[in-house]
Amino acid sequence: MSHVPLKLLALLGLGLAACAQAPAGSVQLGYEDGRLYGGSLATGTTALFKGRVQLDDNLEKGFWLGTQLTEAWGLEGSVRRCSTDLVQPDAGIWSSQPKVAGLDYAVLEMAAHRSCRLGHCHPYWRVGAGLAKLDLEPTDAPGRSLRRASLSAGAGAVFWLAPWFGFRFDLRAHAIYLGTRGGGQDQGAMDGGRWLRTQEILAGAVVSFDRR
Amino acid sequence: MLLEVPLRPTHALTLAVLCAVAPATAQAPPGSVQAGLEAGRQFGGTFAAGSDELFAGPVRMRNCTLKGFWFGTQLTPEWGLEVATRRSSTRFLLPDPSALTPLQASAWFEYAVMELAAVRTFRFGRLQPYGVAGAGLANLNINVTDKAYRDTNRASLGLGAGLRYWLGDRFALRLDLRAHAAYLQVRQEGQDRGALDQGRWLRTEDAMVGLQISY
Repeated sequence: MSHVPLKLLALLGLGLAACAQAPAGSVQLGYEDGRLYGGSLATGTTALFKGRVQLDDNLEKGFWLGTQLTEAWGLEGSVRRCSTDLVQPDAGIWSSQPKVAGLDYAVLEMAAHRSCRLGHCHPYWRVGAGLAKLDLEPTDAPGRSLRRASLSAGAGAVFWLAPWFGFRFDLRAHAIYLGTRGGGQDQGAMDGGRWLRTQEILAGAVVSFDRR
Repeated sequence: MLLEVPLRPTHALTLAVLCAVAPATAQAPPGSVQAGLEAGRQFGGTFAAGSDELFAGPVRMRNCTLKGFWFGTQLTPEWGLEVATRRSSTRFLLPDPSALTPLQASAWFEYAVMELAAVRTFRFGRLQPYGVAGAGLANLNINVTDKAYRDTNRASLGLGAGLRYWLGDRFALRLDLRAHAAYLQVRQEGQDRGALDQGRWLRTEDAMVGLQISY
């Protein structure tokens, strides 16, 4: 049995559905909740710690405001925050990793995203830049606050359940520039230890407003 | 005018095929998205000796309640994609509980899996069995009084099958059976048997029922 007529109908349906959500000129507002993974401060990044310290995975929350410039391209401003610990790194399942400092991690960024429309599902990829704020509270020293430039790249998908409402799933990697390392540790401009790299997995809800 | 066009056998056959197949694709057509909530039971899972840093011998997860949610999209009438997350909270079972240290005895274990899966659906009207295969991340969180013992993330594979029964075009009941295998690590010296050592994996089975909405 040929599926050609069926596939033609399906394509027609896809084409009609693709125009329904997040049209050009619409504005989206979203809230998301998820998890921040990993990242470490290399030796010499800060005088607060003698060796490398690692970020403990923890819950992260955020919200974002975006607009669709064209059918494919959009802009988004987002804020994400996570309260976690810096720990002494150790490998293995459930190894002991004592806390060396508390850490409040926040990123404020602007990103451009490119969507493709598969019916009511809109996968996208994105790149962004912004500012990261790291509030360190060591267990044995006074606290310190750092503000550093941040870059991000990611991908995800919006699942539109109605023209104005959907769920979003988002994967994102951040690289935060910490600066030249001290104590003779720095290895020049390409030194990976100058960056704090984190990954995020978030899921949330999105509301879209269209003035038409 | 239209009535004067002769109806050829091929046209009639195409029309008949469309009418026959249309009910089978009325639910979750290509381009639609689905979201679902589900709950059920998680079975088994054993940490082999030497696969973790906390217990010296093998420990088994107690069967427990499991909850989850998922988003999905239908790419073609047969194939779809799904992003799912599931979480359970349980205790460990040991052959001799009296041998546990206080730290081990207090242990709660939280297990979460987040995965991206491909779903192959077979359409028999309202009843739609499916097969699913996916990969993702497993979060193994031990909850003990000493907070220095922290959670770990590991790669995970999933394989399963299930059944959807559509209550209309929008809502369906879903029964899902899925097996997960999370890669733990190379076991400690003397325990590991090489690349095919089954003790490197934590294997669990999930049985869940849930409700889904399609748009």
